[in-house]
Amino acid sequence: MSAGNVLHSDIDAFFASVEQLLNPPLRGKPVIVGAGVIASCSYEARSHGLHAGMPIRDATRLCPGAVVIPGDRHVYASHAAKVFSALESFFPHVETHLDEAYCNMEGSGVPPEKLLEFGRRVRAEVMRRSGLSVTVGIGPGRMAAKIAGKTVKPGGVRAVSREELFEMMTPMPVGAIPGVGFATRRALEKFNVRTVGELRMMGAEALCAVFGVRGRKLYDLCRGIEKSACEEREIPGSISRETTFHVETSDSAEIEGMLFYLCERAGREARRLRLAASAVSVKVRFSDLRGDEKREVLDAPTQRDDVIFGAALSLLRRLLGRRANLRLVGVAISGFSRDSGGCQLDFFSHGGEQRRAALYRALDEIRGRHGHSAVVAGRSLGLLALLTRDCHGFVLRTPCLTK
Amino acid sequence: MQIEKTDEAIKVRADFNEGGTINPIILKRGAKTFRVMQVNGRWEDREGLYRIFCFSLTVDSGDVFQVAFRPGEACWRLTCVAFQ
Ligand SMILES: [Mg+2]
Repeated sequence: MSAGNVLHSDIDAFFASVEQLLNPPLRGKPVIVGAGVIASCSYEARSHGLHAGMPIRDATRLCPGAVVIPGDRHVYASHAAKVFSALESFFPHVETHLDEAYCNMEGSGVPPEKLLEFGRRVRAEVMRRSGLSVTVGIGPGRMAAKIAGKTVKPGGVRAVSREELFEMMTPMPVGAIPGVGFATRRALEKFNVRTVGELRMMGAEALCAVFGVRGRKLYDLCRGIEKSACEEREIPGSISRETTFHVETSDSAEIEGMLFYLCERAGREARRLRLAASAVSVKVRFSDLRGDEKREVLDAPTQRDDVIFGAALSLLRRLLGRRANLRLVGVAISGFSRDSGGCQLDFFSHGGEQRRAALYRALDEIRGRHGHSAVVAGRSLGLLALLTRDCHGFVLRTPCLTK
Repeated sequence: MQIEKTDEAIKVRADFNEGGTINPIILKRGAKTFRVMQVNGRWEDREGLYRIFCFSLTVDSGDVFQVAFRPGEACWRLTCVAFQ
């Protein structure tokens, strides 16, 4: 039965593959993309034990021949868009995340015995139009499709039925289930639950007692049962923006200016996704590489840059107790709820609140039209003397390649 | 291989085809002229609402140049060079 099937597409070694595509002499060579740590590396680099998240200093020691490229997220986003547009030639509903896409196959009329062949055709078309290799997984739901693909990376195509999925998942670590992160894993370890098979032995009541409403979802997911529709964008856990400084600094105007700029970027993204955040956290790393992080829960969910910055600034001041220069600063907003309009549904909101919301809507519109740099505001004005700008905003030393 | 990010004006001779495709043929950087041997990739970037057409080109020296064309200003910029 093909109704309810989802096709998941994932670009293989995304950033590194784009670099190899655009720079033919890099093909077949170990390529690292990232600054400080590996954001992505080619399969040639992975065969030397390199992986995402590894410090580049360690990576070049393990693989001295590797070519290191800082990367450019705009180039990568343009190439991901080519992949997504190829997928859209097959499917009316494509939900995209960085280099992954979930495609709703409902109504495609592909019979079960032809799913694999269909997947191969999709993969070939993506390759023809983008020059990039993707792994394709097909299954009865988002999780099923993603897990199917994971078993045939890179460059494979696999279709699984619900029964196959059930069998496949049994020995997998619970982390294979989407949404099961570090905290959930640790909570489950207390019950001696490490694999999906072991998780199935916990009853629905027990799971709800530990995890609340999420417990019911876990109960279903570990059995391969999914309800979430494909085009429904999942609410992200957090939106974060961070950078290292070109020169390590203890200048509070510069640090606060950068924090202001990062808060603006995070707030703009939250408004784009129509989300309101209920918590703000700030992280810092000092010149001796020691780091610290603090989080604050807000009085009410917000999408306002000034509220985010207000909380972030007080966190930053508590974090900066040490006599050391700052190497990195970052902000993250989390605890999202959907915000249907441009401003908060707050019964007590007054004119000032609504004027602020309108101001941010106007700013977003101008920046959408003319680039983020079109308006430089507030404390980030001080950055004008310190950083260069391009059409996308200030040129940061280690911009996040995924955002 | 040495990879250099840059942002400088560059002279480009290109074919603008009726279908809307642009094919760079010759690049002139300073006093040096390079013949385009291969277009490795083409993509679009955006500056607000304005489109920027970007190309990765292998030239006759074997080096790889990334160039960007802004139709609004009708100007070409060199954004990256990878020396072999
Ligand atoms: Mg990928």
